[in-house]
Amino acid sequence: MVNDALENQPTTAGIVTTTEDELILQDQQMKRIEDEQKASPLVGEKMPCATLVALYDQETAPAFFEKANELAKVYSHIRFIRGDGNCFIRAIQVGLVEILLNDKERLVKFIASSKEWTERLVKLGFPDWTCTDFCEFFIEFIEKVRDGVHQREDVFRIFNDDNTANYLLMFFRLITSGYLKEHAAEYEPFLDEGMSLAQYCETEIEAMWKESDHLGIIALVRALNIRIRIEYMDRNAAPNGGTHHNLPDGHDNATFTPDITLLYRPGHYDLIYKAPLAETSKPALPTVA
Amino acid sequence: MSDAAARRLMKELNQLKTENPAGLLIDNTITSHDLKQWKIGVVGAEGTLYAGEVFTLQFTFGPQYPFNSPEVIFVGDTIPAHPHIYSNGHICLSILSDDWTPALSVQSVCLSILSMLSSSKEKKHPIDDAIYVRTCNKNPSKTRWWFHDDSV
Repeated sequence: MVNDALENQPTTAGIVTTTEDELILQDQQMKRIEDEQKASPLVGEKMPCATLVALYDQETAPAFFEKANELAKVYSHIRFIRGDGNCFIRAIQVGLVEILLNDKERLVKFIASSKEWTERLVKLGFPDWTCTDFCEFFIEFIEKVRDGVHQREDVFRIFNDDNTANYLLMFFRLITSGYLKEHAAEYEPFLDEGMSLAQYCETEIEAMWKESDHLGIIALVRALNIRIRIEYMDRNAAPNGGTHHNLPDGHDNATFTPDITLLYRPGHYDLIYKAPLAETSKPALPTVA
Repeated sequence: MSDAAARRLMKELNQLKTENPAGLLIDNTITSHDLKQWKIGVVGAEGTLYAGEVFTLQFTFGPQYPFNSPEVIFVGDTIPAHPHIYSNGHICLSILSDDWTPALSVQSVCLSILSMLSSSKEKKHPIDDAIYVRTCNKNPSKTRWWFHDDSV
């Protein structure tokens, strides 16, 4: 962070002098934002999509109101995720574990690939034992899911406990970073000039409470080998011009079946769900007369 | 302190005791009863300006450790005179604020500080020492640092 212009400045260049009052004010603001965040759970209950519609007023926010209604026609449920900078990663983690709770075969494969990731990270030169500590913590958790020690309600209790949830989340941050580092040549050109991929990974991916940008999103999706759809609910269209974006790219929209669907509202991700097929199509079973 | 933080700190402590990295003196009084604050001795490396000198680092861990950085300052009678260390013990080192990641550890912080000492070319405090020490917050993490020179 050498800045030639600053080097020649007089003696106070070393620090930004902030008065005690300003600091107190900043602390109060930070505290208020934190309190607001903590008022909502890390991972909310699954709620009907009507809860989303109810957030918007037809008069004052017509664009959002209309979009919420359109979404409610396609999706039946929403799970709100706390907006603390981890929301994308947390939403993916919750969405994936929900699938694994119902798919033993996929769960077993996922455990194997998580173990492989531990080795891949060590090979990439991640600080050995601190990183493997996060890996082991996650693997232990997911193995308990496999063995039925963690039932569904335990899983959601753990996801809502700040301490354990952050440990689990950190594993996903590390494999995101690992994936980017393994494909450095491919991703480095997307970074702002002067920033190395290693630097980017350390400050934006591996640090907690940093929001995921496009690079972080695609890397996590590829590291986990999952398919996701992001529904955009802002005044702009999705990057591909539609209202949603499928990842990884390059799949035919018509045949793409996402594992996890996220709702994007400016700066934030939540999980959304389609109703199970049986509920939406209401199959006309022959009734016994 | 949360269970998870305590578990991680116990692991770090055991690691430090078994590895016993060169240049670090691990305080035997750190026990599981007081994991919140540790004191670790650092010994200036041979062939550097601080060769053989012993300084004490104080680590204070918040409830969000390791997701937030520990507070690390020099304490005791001798604070090393160094262009990035203020006479009140505060250290200007990016991994202690902006560049902290949970993959770092007490050990990696100590080793960074040792290497910072080793690369010093003159024994003096930062040029703004007098004004900083007078006006700074007690907690160095409240300081918005400008990292003026990465080479030291």
